[in-house]
Amino acid sequence: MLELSSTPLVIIAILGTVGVLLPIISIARKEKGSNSFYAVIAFSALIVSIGYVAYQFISDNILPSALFSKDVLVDDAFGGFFAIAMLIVAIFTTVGSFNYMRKKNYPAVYYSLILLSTIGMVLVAYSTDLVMLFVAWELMSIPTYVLVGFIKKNPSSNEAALKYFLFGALSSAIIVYGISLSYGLTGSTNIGEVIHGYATLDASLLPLALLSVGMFIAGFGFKMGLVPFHQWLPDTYEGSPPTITTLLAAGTKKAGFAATIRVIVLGMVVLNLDWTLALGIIAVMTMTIGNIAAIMQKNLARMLAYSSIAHAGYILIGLAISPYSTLGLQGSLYQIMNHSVMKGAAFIAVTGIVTTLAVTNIDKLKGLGRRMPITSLGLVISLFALAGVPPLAGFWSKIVLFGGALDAGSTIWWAPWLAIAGVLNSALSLAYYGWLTRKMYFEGETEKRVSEPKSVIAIMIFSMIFLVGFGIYPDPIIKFVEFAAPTLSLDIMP
Amino acid sequence: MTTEVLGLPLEIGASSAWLIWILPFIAALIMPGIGKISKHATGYVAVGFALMSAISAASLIPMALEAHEIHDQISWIDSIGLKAGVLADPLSIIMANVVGWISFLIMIYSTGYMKGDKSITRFWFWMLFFIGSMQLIVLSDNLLQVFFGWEGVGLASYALISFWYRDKKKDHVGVEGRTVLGMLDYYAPTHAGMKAFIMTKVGDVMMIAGMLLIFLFAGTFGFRELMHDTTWATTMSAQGLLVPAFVLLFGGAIGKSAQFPLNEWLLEAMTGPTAVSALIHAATMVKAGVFLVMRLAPLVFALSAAGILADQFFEIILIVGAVTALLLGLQGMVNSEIKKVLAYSTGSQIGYMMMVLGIAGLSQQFVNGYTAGFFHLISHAMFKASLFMAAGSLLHVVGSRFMTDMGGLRKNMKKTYAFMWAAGLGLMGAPFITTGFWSKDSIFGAIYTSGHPWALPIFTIAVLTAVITAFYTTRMLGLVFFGSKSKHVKKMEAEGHHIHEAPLSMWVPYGILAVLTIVIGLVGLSFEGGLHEIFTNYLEESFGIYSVHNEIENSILPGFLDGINPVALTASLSAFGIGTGLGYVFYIGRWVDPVQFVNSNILFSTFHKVILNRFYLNAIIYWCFVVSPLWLSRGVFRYFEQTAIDYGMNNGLQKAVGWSAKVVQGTQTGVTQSYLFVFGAGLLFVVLILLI
Amino acid sequence: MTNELIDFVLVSIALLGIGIYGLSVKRNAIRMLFSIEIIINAANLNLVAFGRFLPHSGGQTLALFSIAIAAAEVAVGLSLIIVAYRMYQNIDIADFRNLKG
Repeated sequence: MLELSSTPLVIIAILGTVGVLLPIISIARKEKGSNSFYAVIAFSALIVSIGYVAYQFISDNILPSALFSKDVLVDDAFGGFFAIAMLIVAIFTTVGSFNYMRKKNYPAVYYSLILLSTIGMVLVAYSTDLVMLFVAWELMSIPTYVLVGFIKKNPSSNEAALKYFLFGALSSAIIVYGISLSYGLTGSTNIGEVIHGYATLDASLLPLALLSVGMFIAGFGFKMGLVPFHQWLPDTYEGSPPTITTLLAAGTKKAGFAATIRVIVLGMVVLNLDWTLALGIIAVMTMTIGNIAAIMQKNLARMLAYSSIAHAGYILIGLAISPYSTLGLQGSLYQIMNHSVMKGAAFIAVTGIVTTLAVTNIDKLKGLGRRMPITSLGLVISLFALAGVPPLAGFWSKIVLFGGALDAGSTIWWAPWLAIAGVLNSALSLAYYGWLTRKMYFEGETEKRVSEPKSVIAIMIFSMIFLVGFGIYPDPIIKFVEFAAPTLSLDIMP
Repeated sequence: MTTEVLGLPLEIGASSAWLIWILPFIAALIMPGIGKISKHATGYVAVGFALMSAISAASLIPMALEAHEIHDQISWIDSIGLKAGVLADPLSIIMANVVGWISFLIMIYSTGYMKGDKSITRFWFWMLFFIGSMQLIVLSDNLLQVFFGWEGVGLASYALISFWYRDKKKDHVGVEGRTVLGMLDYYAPTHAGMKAFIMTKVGDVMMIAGMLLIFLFAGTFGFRELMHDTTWATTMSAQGLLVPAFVLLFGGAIGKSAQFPLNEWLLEAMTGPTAVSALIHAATMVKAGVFLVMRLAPLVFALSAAGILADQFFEIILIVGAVTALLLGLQGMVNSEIKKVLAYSTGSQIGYMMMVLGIAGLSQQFVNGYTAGFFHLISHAMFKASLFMAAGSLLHVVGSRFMTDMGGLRKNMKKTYAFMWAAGLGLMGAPFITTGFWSKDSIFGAIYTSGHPWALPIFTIAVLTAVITAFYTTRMLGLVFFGSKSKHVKKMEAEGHHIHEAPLSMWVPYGILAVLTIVIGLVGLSFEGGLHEIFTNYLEESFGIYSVHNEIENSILPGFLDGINPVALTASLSAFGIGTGLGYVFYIGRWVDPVQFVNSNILFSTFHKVILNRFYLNAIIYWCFVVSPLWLSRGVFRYFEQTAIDYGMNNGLQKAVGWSAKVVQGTQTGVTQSYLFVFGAGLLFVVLILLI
Repeated sequence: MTNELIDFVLVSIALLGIGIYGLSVKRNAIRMLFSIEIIINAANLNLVAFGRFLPHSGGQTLALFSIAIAAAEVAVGLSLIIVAYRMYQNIDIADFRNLKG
């Protein structure tokens, strides 16, 4: 049994209580407005949670790496790592909403849904049981359906929500179906036992087992935005409120990776190593199609959406090579942490631009560098970090990822090609990041400076410090990643 | 003993080595703040910091003379055992001084050249950022840190090339409306910046691949560590990966130093302010590639001495250098924009340095080629920076980038005229009095005496390039200063503009460099001898490369030319004579009209056209890497997101699967539906892959 | 015994097929929602059937969870569809294609 003071339970308690209380307070106060009041409450709850995770790490209360467990949750470093990444994103979203939600209806519900969805994300990363995983998955997803469609009067918000919902519901259905098959085959829903069961499965039942794994890949792949499960993603990211896009791109996407690592990657070793090739092919397709589509985009949010598809591909490289090189999963985790900050900051910058200038068309962003200097600088730094330009944080994670792929080349022939594809794609992505930068700084004539939202500035400054600071001195994060990255073997049942 | 060198404690030496590159960064960081307080002060602060950085570099010179080295490390990324550090050995100390002092002079020049520019703070920020990154490259003790600086200079170069981002007509390069193979040969600053950034990025990608490859085997990025234990090289060599790894690293140098086939960005880089062209695209950044090769070459050479052969690495350097030297030199002969001529010349001269470094690795006497390359680097940095700054003055005064818009200026701008001659003589290699002569001569000597089977063809290319160099330099001087004044100048004078000398802050810096070209040239042989001695010791102590003593009998030459190869001497004298003579006939004496001469013969005119069209290389690159990918991107975009799916849903399946067609037929598919279709197909695909 | 299990699984697979067919053919948002529900119910049927042949009740528990969650999902989905209907007077999913490219 987990102790009551274990990290996931405490996070549930804090965020759950606050999340449920917010609407109640709002009803008691009988008012619709006062956005910042709720925002501050939600913000404090998130800060307390992230503080608790950090405290648990510092006081060595967390088991190393990723583990299987008899329970439904395990308080391990892997979950803690994702918890920190996701809580950072949730904080970004909340702070970014300070301005965005001003003069909009139902702020209490909005923040409450963010908190509930955050619980879901965090729990996905901590789950060691398919039932828990599924419940957490839905707890994460359902609030986001509402949040994407939160601006009721806006047709594109609604369209985005509807598309997102249909795909989300379909992927949940597929996941449940996959769970039902694996349960039938192994008689258990515990991930560790399912994997054991698969290892000793009767050969005639193997196709069914593979069908279930395929369903998991499709179901999780939807959230991660892997090609070919990605098509809802640009539409949804473009149409939804930009703050919520932050949550989706930087947060829920990572939950997909957490689930994939817990369920598929750890199981890969026992079932069939050839799957890694399938993941590798998907990784290359995802990177390439994401980047190529991004080049032509005229809408900032949509461009970033395609870029986040491409980044799912980079992260997937690490998963594909994980059985061959320990650097694989480390690189993926590192990239996940960086991507949370980079993409989070980029979308919050979009939020700032939308709230002050009400444009997302890139042609209308000429001279943004003079109109909104700090937001632009933050955006540009996160873009270059996304492209992996040194000395920014994104550089190191790509180094580890591609280095891992080269390293794996000594055991599996196609692994270096992943690195080559990744490097070529990074170069390709520089084309549209550079183009955007050029629009913002080198075009336009007479723009006057406008006042930037304070909350956005705060996030920009935080992420600039993060990206540049950990770019120049990446040691702490590398150590953290090494501590949290799972090792692939079946002997990790405690 | 090592604690004190000439009264300078080593710790102080180490800290000044750090300061060389940290100071400019600090200055860059405080620059926006100072700009807020007073725009006027920014210039003084920038120049001051550049001076302090240069002084820190100068304080290390005693170490270089004593052949000491400072290697100071701090921990950086513990988890993979990475350390950050400075490595001040003779190579990096001399280079740091070249970079430091030339940037200081160019910063002074900039205070005049950029006077009154609205974005002056941005200018200083990027200049300082550049100097810091460049010195970081020079002083790094490991490849990864070099790569950081490498990206830093790339970024600064991008920002400074597109400095005049408003893309005014006068800031373009190329002739308006001229096309080559359907591609416009006319570039705006923002486009040029982008082009430079992307083309050098190609090299950067190769470089990082090479670095990672080496790291995987050696477990370190450090130059000294790589030399200390060479088992990694044995393993890599056994797997056939050693040469590819070093060639990939050299790919970075090709991009940064604008060598063939990544040379085309350098011409458009001339859209930047001239101070930038002088600093970044003549004296320093483009030398970063040469410097990288100079860092790596002794290592590779020492490896081959230990039986791990990597001759192909040097052969590739040699070929790339030779091709670049000739190709870009030829193009310099026909261009009409003064800065572009200088840019072609820069690429071509860097080709010389690459060439001689390549031949050094292939010959027994490594130190000869190595010294020659470095000597040419120093002398080229001086006269080319001087020429660029002088050209900037001309642009400043005449207001046109075309030499055809100048002409007959020798009376109006006497100082610039004199200094440009001095520096130009350096570039031409005027015998016995210029640095350019001695450095070029030692390059010829090194190539000629290398004993490599390719020595003779390469020597021919080198001499031919020297003829070309002397020709286009004379042509440039002739077009600008001799003959009658152009229509443009006459029009200016008619409008009441007085064509006058550039201000003091501008002509002093290039004056100093021009005079230095001559002064060092007068003592050229002993200067070279000094360098030779320093590097002989350096290569012996750090790499165990001993120079082979074989006395060359050259009794036919007078005593003061001791150590000079007579063939090389004859070659460089005649190259200078022929090139300058031809140039004089066409452009100074103006006895023959060059236009008529070229049109007189179909062979000449075709050749002229091919050269003027940049050997079609630029246009081909654009077609292959810009036009087609854009087209492809549009195509992929359309097919994946719109056409293919709709088509597949509405038509493809009807024919392919008979009965299911009827089911599909009844459904007019919307977009969401087609997404779902792809989703399903994806699921099927994944399951199929797993089953296989 | 085994035959019975196969029967359940066959029905479940048939339901899955019906659900997928419905999703790919129907354009009415509510019908698509139904199709998804059918897939979820196919999974539930599987879970309960497997659970019957296993010594513990894990499958039935998961089925209960899944039913409850599906209900929540339908509630959200229907409300989104209602909002869409108010805006367009139409719930044909093919007409929602402003976001593309």
